[in-house]
Amino acid sequence: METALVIAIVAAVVIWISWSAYKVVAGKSSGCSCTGSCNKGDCAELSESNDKK
Amino acid sequence: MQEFNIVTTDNGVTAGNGVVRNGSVKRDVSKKTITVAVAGNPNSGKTTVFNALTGARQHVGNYPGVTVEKKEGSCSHRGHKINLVDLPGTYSLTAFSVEEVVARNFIVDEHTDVVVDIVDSSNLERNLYLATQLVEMNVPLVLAFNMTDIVERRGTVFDIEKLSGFFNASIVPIVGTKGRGLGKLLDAIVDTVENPRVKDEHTVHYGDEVEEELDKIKPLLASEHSLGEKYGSRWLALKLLEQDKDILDKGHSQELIDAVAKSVQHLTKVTGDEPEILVADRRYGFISGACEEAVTNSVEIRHMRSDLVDKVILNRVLAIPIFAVLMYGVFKLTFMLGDPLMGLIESMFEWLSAFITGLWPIGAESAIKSLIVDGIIGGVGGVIVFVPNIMLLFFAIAILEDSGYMARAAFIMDRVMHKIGLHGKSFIPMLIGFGCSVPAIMGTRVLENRRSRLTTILVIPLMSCGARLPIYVLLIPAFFAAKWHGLVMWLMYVIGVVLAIFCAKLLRKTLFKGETMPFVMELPPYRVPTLRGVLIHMWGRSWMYLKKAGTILLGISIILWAATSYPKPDENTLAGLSAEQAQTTALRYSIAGRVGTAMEPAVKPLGFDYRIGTALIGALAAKEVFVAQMGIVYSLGESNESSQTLREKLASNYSSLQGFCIMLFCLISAPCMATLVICKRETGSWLWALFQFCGLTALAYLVTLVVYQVGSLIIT
Repeated sequence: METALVIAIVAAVVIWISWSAYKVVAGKSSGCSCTGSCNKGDCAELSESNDKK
Repeated sequence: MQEFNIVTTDNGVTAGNGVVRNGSVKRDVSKKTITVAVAGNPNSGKTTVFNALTGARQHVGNYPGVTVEKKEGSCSHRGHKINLVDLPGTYSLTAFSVEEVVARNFIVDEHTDVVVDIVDSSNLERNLYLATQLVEMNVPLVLAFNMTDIVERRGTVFDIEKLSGFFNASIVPIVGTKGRGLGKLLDAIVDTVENPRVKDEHTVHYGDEVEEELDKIKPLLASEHSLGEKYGSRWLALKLLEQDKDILDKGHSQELIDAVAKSVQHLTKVTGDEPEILVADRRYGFISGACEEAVTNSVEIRHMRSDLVDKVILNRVLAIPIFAVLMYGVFKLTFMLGDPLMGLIESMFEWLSAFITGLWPIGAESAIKSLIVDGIIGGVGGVIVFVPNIMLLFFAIAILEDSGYMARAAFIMDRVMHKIGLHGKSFIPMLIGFGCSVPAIMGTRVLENRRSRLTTILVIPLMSCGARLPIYVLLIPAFFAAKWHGLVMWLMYVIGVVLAIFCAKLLRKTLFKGETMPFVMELPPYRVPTLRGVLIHMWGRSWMYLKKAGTILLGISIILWAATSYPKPDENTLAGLSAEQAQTTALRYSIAGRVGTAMEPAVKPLGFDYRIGTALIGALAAKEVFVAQMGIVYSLGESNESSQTLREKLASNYSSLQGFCIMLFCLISAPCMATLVICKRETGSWLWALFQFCGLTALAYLVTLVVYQVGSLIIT
């Protein structure tokens, strides 16, 4: 029972991480591991405004 | 009330009518035609003034040979017909852009009677750079100080007489949008033609070294009568020293070319800077001095105070040492104040681990317990404990940024960047790279030149990003005495910058050869940062760090825990082994252990074992994963009585040299996945991302190998 729960948790995490990685590679997310140096906090905003230029 | 006629030059014959604000219109009664070139920085209000003077109808065409717009119009004043030509907006008159060449050639070739430079007086120092170059050309000059209404509101006072003397030109305050002062501007134009000022070639002094070289070149220009007559020998000599391409291409004698090359070489050798930079420095010095003498008010006073501070901060000799000492101080503070707070959070996680472990019977094996204690607390907790150090570092950086010092850092590096074939503009994304490479690479879009941009993108990951911080904060205190903490951290950042500069130079010499364009870098005045502003900036960044720890790092920690825990060896294999041996065997048997063991021969020459090897693979997803993985590896199979911290465990397993090599490899090696993806997006090709990945990994391997092998020889 316990092992099944752990397998389910790990499988769910693998799917979630794979989906996140796919979104970054496909360009649907900036994937920014930003610590805020751009003063915007979230790079999606920066990416969007740059794309418009 | 101002009265003058407007004459359009659509076909060169027709005299049309136009109205300038409240002026009435008369027939053209000009006695003499005056050609006026209207120059100015972009956004200085040049076109507004031109339109106000010439009315709504102008002739628009192109300059011969180029598709740069040429606007002409005319008006009459005091019996003179004044033909105005609106030159392209430029910041300077060097030969770097078509606009600059067009503007300069028009002034020289078209026998302009007067040049009117429209100066945005609310941004005086930057706008006066063009004026200084016009002064150098020794043309009859009128400076129209535009937007004086804004300046008045600020309470700024110009000593027009003094400034007029400094620039050897008439100065007229105007407000282009309201038509204020335009009559006086036309008066000044006519006065300049009727009563020309005595020409003074030596308005700007470029320093003894440059002046000596100018004096050597000037006599050699005597043989080139036509050019000398057209441009003036001093100006021509100056442009040759500045290596102005347009002037260099005018076909000079071999003797002159050799003399110029010798002078350029001499100046570069003696001063350490190219003549172009020396001359630009002097121009700024001249402007700064002139403004200090003749401009006063509260805002300017703040600028003046900033200038005084900058005299020290941006001093040619002191600038880089001051920058280095400041950064050292920041890192030292990060450890000094951060470590006690870190200890508190560490104790909290230890308590939490003990509490969760206590929920199961003593010695009981449980996958859920291991997942929570070893995977989540060991992994994510290992990253979260560094939050105080990181918050402190962000606090210090926010103070440096908000005070205006970080803008100076880019300015300081401008000189270095020029030497490697990039300009200071490239250092701005690099500075962003200290936070995260992803926005830094996006920030390279400000670079117009593709070669400069690609070079900058490829070297940005060498700047120590925020994700490397937990690695440094974990390893430095584990392997070095407290007094060296700040210095080792500083060294890691410096190694990153030096390698970035080295790689950029290499790329510019090989793959991306070509010239760079200089630009004017603005320096905002210093300000006292507000506590609220600094706290907001600090919290914004710290929150992103926590958010990442709670999402992506949590997920990766769970996967790494599974990869490090499964499959498990059967009980027979572990029978008879000590606790430590059993832990090592179980680790080597797991997926991560097998991958680490397979790559051990490759990383062994660097001083790494299979555990570090697996952590380095995990770090490809995000650099902090290295810390999480080490936390998981060292908490798995650990006896419950062990009260050693991760740092203590690392210190007992590896030497200081190995610790330093781990940090070095993490600093230089392949960037995280997000950086590679953004590299592909910004360069438009996976090939560049692959080149970045392979190039940096190879460089990391090479540097770490040399450091470890040489270090081992020295230490033994």
